Amino acid sequence: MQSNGVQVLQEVRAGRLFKDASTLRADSRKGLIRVIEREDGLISFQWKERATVQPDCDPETDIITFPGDAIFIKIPNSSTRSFMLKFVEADRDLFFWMQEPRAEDDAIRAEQLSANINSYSPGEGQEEEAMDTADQAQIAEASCTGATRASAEEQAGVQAAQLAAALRSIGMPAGMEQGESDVAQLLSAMQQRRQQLPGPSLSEVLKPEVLLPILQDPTILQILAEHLPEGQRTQQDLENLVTSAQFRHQLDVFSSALRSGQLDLSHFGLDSQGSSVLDFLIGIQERFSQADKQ
Amino acid sequence: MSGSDAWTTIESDPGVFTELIEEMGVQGVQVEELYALDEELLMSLRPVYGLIFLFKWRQETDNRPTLNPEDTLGHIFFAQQVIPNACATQAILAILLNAGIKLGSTLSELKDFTSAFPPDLKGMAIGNSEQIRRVHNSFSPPQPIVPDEAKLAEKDDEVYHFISYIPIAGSLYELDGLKPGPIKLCDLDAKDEWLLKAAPHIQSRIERYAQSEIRFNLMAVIQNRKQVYSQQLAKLQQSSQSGEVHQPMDTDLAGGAASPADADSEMGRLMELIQQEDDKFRQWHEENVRRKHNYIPFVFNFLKLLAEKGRLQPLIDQAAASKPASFSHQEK
Repeated sequence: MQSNGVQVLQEVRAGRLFKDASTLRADSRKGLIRVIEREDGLISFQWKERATVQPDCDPETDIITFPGDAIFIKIPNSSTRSFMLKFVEADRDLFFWMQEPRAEDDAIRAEQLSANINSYSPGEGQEEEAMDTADQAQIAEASCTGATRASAEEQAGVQAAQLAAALRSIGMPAGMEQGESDVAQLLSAMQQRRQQLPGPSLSEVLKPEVLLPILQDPTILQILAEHLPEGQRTQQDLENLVTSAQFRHQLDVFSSALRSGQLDLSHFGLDSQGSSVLDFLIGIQERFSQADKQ
Repeated sequence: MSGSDAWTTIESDPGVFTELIEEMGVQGVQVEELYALDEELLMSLRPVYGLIFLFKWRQETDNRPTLNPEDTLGHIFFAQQVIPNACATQAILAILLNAGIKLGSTLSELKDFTSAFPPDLKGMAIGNSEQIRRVHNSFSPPQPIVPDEAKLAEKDDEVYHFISYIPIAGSLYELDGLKPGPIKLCDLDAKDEWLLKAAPHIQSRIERYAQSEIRFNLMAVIQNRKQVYSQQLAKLQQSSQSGEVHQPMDTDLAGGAASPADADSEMGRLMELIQQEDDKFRQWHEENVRRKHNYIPFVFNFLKLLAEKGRLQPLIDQAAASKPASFSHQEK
């Protein structure tokens, strides 16, 4: 369900570092990293100055992050409290220095930031709301610093394209200098994303045109007849069933119950994790398939 | 498992409503869906006990006066809509309990028990009726899958509202469970056909909603058609046996058969109509059996069988390739 407004997931006091040829130059301003969940469920990574005046100024940086876009890590080979928002494409990287009092907590904060920017709560009717968020973005544009930024819609389109590029480029060369553990983190974030997307309903997977050919196998009716209501156990009944609105409706309800957690895969004796229809199917495959495992 | 007091949403389908009425203990009544406000069609469905107009609810100003329910106690059964998911059943009850037909024990008891109650208590009595709730809920998928209503409320999913139109004791009423009392639309003379008096009111609603693209349905609660046709057929057969020439009783088309040949073709027509009713009820029943059956064991065992036969992988591949989708529901 949607929250009524923006939800702040995490705030970390941090200043900016700017790339200057081959060095990073510190910006002395006091700042704040903020990760928010927008009304449409998308995650935004923001940085703004912690000004005493105009507390609700527009953030200077406001980036929508899809899972798999980026991670927040300590800058490798650096001894100071410097961190980076590391993207697949290096020219998008952003750099920060921690301004929180306790350095011991930097690592945990960084992990949490990574986790937050890689989370994703799909809201319902997101596509319809793309227009609304674009409008909201315009309305929210306060002119305190005159900072410009791409509209939410443009950003979303750009981000999606970059994610697609990142997914295509998964075969990164091994032995990349700082890269391996980062890549592993990116990959696991992308895996997380795949599991979090709702996926199709069982009524779409078990479409009539897919089922009817399968149902021509007479052993299927033989074995499954006991699970059909009495009086509806003929081959014709079976074929009528899979094309019926009542069956599709039950498949939809079942798929919703799986996804919402009302029904658990363990209810079916499946060991697997997950709550999507795909997870359900994979769970069944793993448990009952006779194929030799490689 | 849902709370045992919960009412689930059911489909607004004439086959569902017809069986619902029967399972509440009322014989000889069926529900037909009307796709247009066709007066000729309406007249052909007589006797019509009441009309139900259902539409996606929205705020409307309506300054028409409502009758004080106290004044009508005892001759109009008016209950307030207390349980949102029960609104279809309540609209049907509004007609059954005012139609002057034989009710069966469950509904007779309800009517007697609540006869002195104000509308809100009547509504609560309906909501608390375990028998009625059980029959109502039996038309949604059985436990353990009970839809989480909040999650199912997608953008397009509607909150439907039901209004009943019914003639009671010489006047035409609009019964709306969200209002404080019945609305009297007009008086009816003995010669008046109430359907023709109700039509303009319904028509103006249709036009109002059509402009805002609000979807609506119209259903008629009528006497069981097969009964009606069978009675007519029996009369014709009787009189043709006795050699009389007999006028067809109250059929939809004008003009009477005055000759044996006409009587024959009329009988043929009635028999065909009876056959159509049998087919329709059979279809309705098939659908209701499906609605009431829990297909989870079937689905699970089917997928298991496919996995054992090595035929599940293509479905997995297809599911993995599908774009995320919203789950569309057919409930209204």
